[in-house]
Amino acid sequence: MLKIVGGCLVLIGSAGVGWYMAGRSALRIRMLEELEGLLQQLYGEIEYAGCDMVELLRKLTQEARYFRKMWQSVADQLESRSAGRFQKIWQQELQQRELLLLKQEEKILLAELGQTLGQVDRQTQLYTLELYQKRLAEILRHAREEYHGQAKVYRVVGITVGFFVVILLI
Amino acid sequence: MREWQRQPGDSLRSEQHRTRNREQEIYQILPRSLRGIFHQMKLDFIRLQEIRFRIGAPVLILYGGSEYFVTSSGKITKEVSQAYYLTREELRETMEYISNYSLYAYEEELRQGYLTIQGGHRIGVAGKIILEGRQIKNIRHISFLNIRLAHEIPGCAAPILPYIFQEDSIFHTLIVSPPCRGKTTLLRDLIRMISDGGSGHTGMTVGVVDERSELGACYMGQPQNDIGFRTDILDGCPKVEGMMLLVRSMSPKVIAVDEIGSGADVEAMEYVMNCGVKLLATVHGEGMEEIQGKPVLGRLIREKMFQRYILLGGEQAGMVEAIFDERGSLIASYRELGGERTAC
Repeated sequence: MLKIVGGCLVLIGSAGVGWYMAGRSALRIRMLEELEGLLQQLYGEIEYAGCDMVELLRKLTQEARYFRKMWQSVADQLESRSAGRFQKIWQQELQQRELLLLKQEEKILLAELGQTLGQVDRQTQLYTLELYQKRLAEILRHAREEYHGQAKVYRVVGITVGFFVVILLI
Repeated sequence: MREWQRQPGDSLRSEQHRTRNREQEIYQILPRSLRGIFHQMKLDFIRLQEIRFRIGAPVLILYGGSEYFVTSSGKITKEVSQAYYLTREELRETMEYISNYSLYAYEEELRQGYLTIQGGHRIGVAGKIILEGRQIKNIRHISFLNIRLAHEIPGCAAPILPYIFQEDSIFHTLIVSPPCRGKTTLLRDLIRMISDGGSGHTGMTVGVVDERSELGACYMGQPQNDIGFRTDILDGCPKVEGMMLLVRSMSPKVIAVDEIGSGADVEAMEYVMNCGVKLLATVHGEGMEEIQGKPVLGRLIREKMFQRYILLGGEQAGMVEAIFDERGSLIASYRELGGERTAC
């Protein structure tokens, strides 16, 4: 009886790890999707409303989920006018936030975005945002493809490993 | 004491408040490295007129009419050897504060060569000009800044006000002055007094076409200078279109414009006058003879469209030399006006 209960627990635990890993991949995609939305919103606001950066970040804070604290903190620091240049504030935030789920390529994209935001004229700003949108769309496409393959593998491996351990234990 | 003049009792508190505000408004655009230095200098911000930033050059201030270098120990000096030199990074930081970290949002202002910040202070910029055809498209690599602190003198127009009022209205009035003699400061105070009313005169709705944001010094649409509570401003609007628009939309009793010059300006002014709206305007000129000789404006003067001419001049800025009527007859001279400076 004890062996059966133990085996079930091992199986559930192992399958849970598989599901957790698949969930992490899904979360990364949701974060990237939020970033994609952010870039679209930035583009629209700069093109049509000409909002300044603090106003823009406040708007983004209202709609963001994963990056809410980051936009809020950057907006607060900009508003205080005592934290120095935008690039520095942005870099510090990226380092502090430890966006673990994002891959290096995605972190680089975010860092580069901070180097151009608010630094150039409207036309150049829109052009650079367009480029970031294209790069991010490509990253997102890869991430979705990866996810479809990986999520299945994580779950199957999770269950299979669970079964093997149970068999070995029994 | 006229109602529209600041009462002596009010002055100390409001003066302190204004100084503190000015200080705060200027501090928040300075690079952090310079904030401490300026703090140590203990400047009277009412006397501070300009701050000049140039990459790799000494920081200069125009203080009480004289130019000084700023030292790294927080003092002002005439010795360039002790001066504090501004770095590229410091100028960029200043530019980020000035533009609210959003250069793209100030493209139109940059094209004109200046930005207006909170408090109505004007920042002149210079750098690499990007042309599109023969038009200035943008300024890049901004390397020179001129921070000009807003300059308001409430009450400076009081001595001339009785000469331009007629019963419940005012005369069409033209302020004539050489550059930097205080005509904009005088016009701003006239607008405020006419708008607010007082001393038996009812306040009037005044429409202002502020093409260069000098009168209202609007920041995010809100005037930073006191221009009266019955005043509507079209900020950054060309004079011709602005005057027409105001007549059609805001039904002003008085329209004020600064620095008229072109033929189109004069035509728009004629339109305004024919609509029954009174006009307050300024023009560059050394004297009545000079402006009478101007091709388009001269015709308006010969046709006696303006009923009052206020001539600024003399040795000091803001000195009203004389006031003339539509026939060119002297109705008040410097001595009759109290022999004091009005503006500046």
